[in-house]
Amino acid sequence: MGRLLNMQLSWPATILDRLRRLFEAHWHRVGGGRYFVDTAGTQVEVHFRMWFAQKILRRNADAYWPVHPATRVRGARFTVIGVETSPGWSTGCEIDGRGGLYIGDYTQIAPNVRLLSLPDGAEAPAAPIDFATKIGRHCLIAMNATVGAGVRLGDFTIVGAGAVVADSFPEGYCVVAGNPARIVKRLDPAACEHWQRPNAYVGYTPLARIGVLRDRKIDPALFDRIWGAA
Amino acid sequence: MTRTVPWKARFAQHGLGINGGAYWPMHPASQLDYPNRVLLGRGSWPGIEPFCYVSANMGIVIGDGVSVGRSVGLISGNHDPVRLTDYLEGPPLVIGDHCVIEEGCTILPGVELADFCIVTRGSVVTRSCFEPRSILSGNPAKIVGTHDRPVPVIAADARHGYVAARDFADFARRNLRHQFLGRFAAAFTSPRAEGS
Repeated sequence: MGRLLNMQLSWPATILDRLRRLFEAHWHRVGGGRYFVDTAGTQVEVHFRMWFAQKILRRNADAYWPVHPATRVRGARFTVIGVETSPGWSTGCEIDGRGGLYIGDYTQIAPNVRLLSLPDGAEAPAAPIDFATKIGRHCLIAMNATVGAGVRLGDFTIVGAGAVVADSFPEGYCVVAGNPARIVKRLDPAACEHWQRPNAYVGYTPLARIGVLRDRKIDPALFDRIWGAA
Repeated sequence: MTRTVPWKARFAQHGLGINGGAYWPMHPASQLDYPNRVLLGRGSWPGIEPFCYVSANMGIVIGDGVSVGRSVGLISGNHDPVRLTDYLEGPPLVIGDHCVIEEGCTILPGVELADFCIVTRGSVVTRSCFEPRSILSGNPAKIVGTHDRPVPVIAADARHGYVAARDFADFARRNLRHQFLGRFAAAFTSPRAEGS
């Protein structure tokens, strides 16, 4: 009863928590990347539970960004993400990149979001030539929203909760909501902050070493469309 | 009738520490932010179904006997639209007694639901509903009718999650972040707290 009255973790969970912190602080010395240390406090920090599910249990193992154990990622090879964004970092998402999916920098994706790049029932192409679905930078996709195949969303598009986006909003700076999604509010582009993070990460990879993902994790044609200049 | 806690949820929370900060049973596939900003009534377990998201950064107050379905979002803080990492201050999310929130609903920040409301599946509640016994539906949710279901009985020994009802006032006074609970905080910041 004392534990409950003090709202603490149970003692086994406390021990595991200490071990987890120890592991995260020293994992880079054993040979892995510094992602546990460097992404702590960012909006898509790598959690041990996600790392364990992906790297050890090999669930969603082809995704090169941290993914919640309860989400499903398909076609990670044809999904290109920007810095500090992780589709599927939250629970219950369904990320389907088989038709080519791009998600811009710093975009936040809430739980239970469906990002689709193939129309329902369509056969997945062997290698898509271009992105079917493109989401801009600094977007927010709220809970239970669906972004359908062939949609282009510009920067600072905020997709409201429960929205089903079937049309493109390429100019961005707007709030869209409803089913089908309509613009409910426009944002002032001058007021929107395009903030940047020093030492940014693309999933598990530092931005400076983005080249290692080409052809190892990401389809080279799609990789060059986004990171070709880098 | 008291529900028994599923052993999976119990093991995930108290053995592995997944959603271990919550003082009520939660499914390991649900997501929770700021458990100490949630004021929970008796017999309601938000997030016991998988894929729920209980985001209490601006406070959530939930009444007695609320049933929450799977992939429900209880969102209490709006993002600042021009600086998406910040949140806008706001009143807490309030859900009345015996509400039924069906599968796939999203309750947005600042909403207050009256007692006995039913939110049908997949709706997005954006406005408050102060009429008891109404049925809300749609995106955005509108009142589509009323119902006169009998008042469900809550067992006499029903707990506030894992906390027994007789201990809850003490528990809430010690642990909850009262500044996020709006007008409901007054019951727990009374002089009986004697500054301890």
